[in-house]
Amino acid sequence: MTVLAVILVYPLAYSLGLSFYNYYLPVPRTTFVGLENFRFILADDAFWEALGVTARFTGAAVAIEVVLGIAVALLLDARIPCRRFVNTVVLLPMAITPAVAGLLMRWMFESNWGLVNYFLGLAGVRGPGWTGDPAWALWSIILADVWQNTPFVILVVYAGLQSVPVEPLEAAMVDGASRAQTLAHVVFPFLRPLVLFVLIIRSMDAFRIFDQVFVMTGGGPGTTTQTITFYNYVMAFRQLRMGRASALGVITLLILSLVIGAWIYLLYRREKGEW
Amino acid sequence: MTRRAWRFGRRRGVLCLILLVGASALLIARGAAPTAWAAEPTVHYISHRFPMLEFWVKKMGEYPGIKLEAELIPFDQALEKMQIHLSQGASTYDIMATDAFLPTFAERGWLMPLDPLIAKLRQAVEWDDIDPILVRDVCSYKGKVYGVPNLAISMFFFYRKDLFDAAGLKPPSTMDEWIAAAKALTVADKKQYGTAMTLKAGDGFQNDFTYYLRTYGGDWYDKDWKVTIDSEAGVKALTTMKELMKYAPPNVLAFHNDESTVAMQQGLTAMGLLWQSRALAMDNAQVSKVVGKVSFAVPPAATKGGKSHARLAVGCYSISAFTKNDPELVFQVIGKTLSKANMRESAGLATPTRLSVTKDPEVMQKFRFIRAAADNVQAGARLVPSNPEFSEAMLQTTQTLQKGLTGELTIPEALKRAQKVMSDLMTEKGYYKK
Repeated sequence: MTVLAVILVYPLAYSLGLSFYNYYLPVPRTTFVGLENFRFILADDAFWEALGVTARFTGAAVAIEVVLGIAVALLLDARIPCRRFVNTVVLLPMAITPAVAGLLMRWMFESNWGLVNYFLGLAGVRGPGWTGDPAWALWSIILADVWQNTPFVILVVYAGLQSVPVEPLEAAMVDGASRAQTLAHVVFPFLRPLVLFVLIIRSMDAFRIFDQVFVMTGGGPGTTTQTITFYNYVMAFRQLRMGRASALGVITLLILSLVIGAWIYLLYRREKGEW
Repeated sequence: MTRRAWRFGRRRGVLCLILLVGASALLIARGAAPTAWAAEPTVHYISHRFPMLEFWVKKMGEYPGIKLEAELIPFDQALEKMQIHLSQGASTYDIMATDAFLPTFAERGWLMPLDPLIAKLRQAVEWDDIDPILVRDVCSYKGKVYGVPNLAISMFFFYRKDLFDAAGLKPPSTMDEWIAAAKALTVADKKQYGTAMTLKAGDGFQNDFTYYLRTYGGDWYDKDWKVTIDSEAGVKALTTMKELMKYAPPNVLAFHNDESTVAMQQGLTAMGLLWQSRALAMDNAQVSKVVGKVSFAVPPAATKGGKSHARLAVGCYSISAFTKNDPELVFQVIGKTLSKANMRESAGLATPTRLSVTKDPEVMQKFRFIRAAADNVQAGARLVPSNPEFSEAMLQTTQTLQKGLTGELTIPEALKRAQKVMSDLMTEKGYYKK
C-alpha cells in the first residue's frame, strides 16, 4: 500500500491539486483559479480537435491490430513451416522502444528516399508525402503503431489458441463442421475474453500515444496528428502552463476511465453469462 | 501460507524496497554531483544542433583540464529543456547557447552577468577583438553583458548554377521570378523539384514565414507590441508560400533545416532559402551530389529594386546563474574556444564574431559565401523579436498558419486565428493597457 501511495496516489493527487492553480513555470508564484483551467480547455478548439485525432487514431489502429493479430495468430497455430523462427521474427517489433521505432518509421516513410515509397514505386504506385502530407500523416503513425503493437495481440491470442480444449474441436470435426464454422462457433467464443482484454489494453495505450507522434510528425502537418497527449506536452513544456496541463491530464484520465469502464462492464457481463 | 511464511515474505519485500530506494538514491546522487567524483570538473553544455555549434562543441571538448558533457538537440527542445531546468534554479547546465531569448532569460535572473569576468579576464580571452556591436545589440540586456557572441548567420538564397545556366535563368530578384524559376526547373517524375522550403511547424516555419512577411512589408508586431500578421503582407506571404509549395517536394511540410539541406545536397531541389551555415555542406564531397554547383545570392525581394528581409541570427554563449562550476573557468572555456584561430577555421560555417577575422582578406577569399552573407545583412536581414511570448506561442501559431497552406483553412482565416493565438497571449501577459 505504501508503494502504491508513493508511485500512484501522490502524483495523482499533486496533479489534481495543481489543476486548480494558474502555474506558469518561469514564475514561482501560483494563483488559485478554481475550475478556470478546466473551463479554458473545454472551450478550446485545439482540445476537441486533438480528441478527434486521438479517437480516429485509436479506432483505426486498434481495429487493424486486433484483426491482423488474430489472423496471424491463427496462421501460426496452423503449424506452418519454420513456425518457431516466424514466431520470433513476428515478436521482434515489440522489443524496440517506441521512440526508436518512431525514428525507424520516420525514415521508412520518408517520401523521397524511404523504403515504403521505394517498394510502392516498384509496384508502379506513386507514394504520397506521408508525414508531410495532411491526408496521410495520421496513417503513417497508425501504420507505425500497427507494426509495433500487433505482436502483442498475436502473443495473447496465440496463447489463447493453445488453451482451447481439444474435445469441442474434435466434436465439431466429427459433426462435419467446416474450418470457418469451427472458428466461428467453437474457437472464437473461447477467445472472446482474451480479445476483450486485448481491446482494453490496446485502447488505453493507443489513446496515450506520444513517442511516435513526437518523433515522426511533431503533431503536424498543422494539427493533423496532434493527439491529446501531444497537446498536453505542448501545453506543459512549450507553453509552460503546468496548471492547465494538469487539468488536461485530469480530463484525459476521466475520458479514459469512461472508455475502459465501458469495456470492463462488457467483460463483467460476459463472466456473469449475460451475453 | 503459514503466518511465519507470510511474515518472512513481507520482510523480504520490505528489504527489497529499501535496497531499491537506496540504489536509486545512490544513482541520483551520482548523477547530480559528478564533480565530487570526477578528477576534473565537468562542464555541462546545451544548445541546438547545427554545424557551427557542433564545431564549437568539438573545440570546447579539447579545452584542457575539463570534461565536457554536451547536449545538441533540435532548437525547440533545447529551449524547452533550458526553461524547465532554469525555472527550477537547477545547476544542470553551465554553458547555454542563447540568441533571441537572451533578454527573456536575463530578465528572469537565469543568466550570469559577465561584466566582472570580462573586466578580470579581458586579455586572456582577447575580449576587445570581439565585435562590440554584437555584444551591445544582441548579447546584452539593460546595460549588462550576458553572453559572448559566437556566430552570426543569415538565411540566403542557394541555387544550382548549373541548372540555372542550362535553362537560361538568372537568380531571381523578385518573388514572381522565384516562382517562375521553380516552375521551370520542376520535373516531378524525375524527382527534381524547383525549390526547397522549411515548413515544419515551430522554429522552421517561423524562419521562412518571417522572411516572406517582412519582405512584403509586414512584421510580427508593431512598436506597441500589437500582433500584426493578419495583414495584407501576411496574406501575400502565405499566398506566395502556397504557390511555391507546388514546386517543392511532396513532403515539404515536414521539412526542417536538415531536410532542406539534404534536399539541396542530393540534387532533389534546384534552389531555396537556407541558412548560411549549410553552405559548406553543399561542397562536402563525402555526402553532397552537387559539389561546386551551388551558388549563393541575396534572397528575392517583393518587387524589382526592393529589399528582402531574411532571418538574421546572432548566437551568444551564456553562463547559467545557477552554475556550480567556477565562473572564471567556464568563461575561459567559452572565451578561449572562440579564439581567432578557431574562428578562422570555422569561418565557412558562420560569419565570425571577431573583427580581426571578419576583416581578413584571406578568410573572405577562402569562404565565398561570407560575401553573400555580408551582402544579405546590408540588404536587410534582421533578427526576430526577443520577447518570451514569441517563442511560447510559436508552435501553435505556425501550426495554424500551416493550415492556410494545406487548404484546411483559407489564408485569411489562418492568419486571423494565428494572430488571435499570439494576441491572447500578449493580452494575458499584460502588454496592452486596458
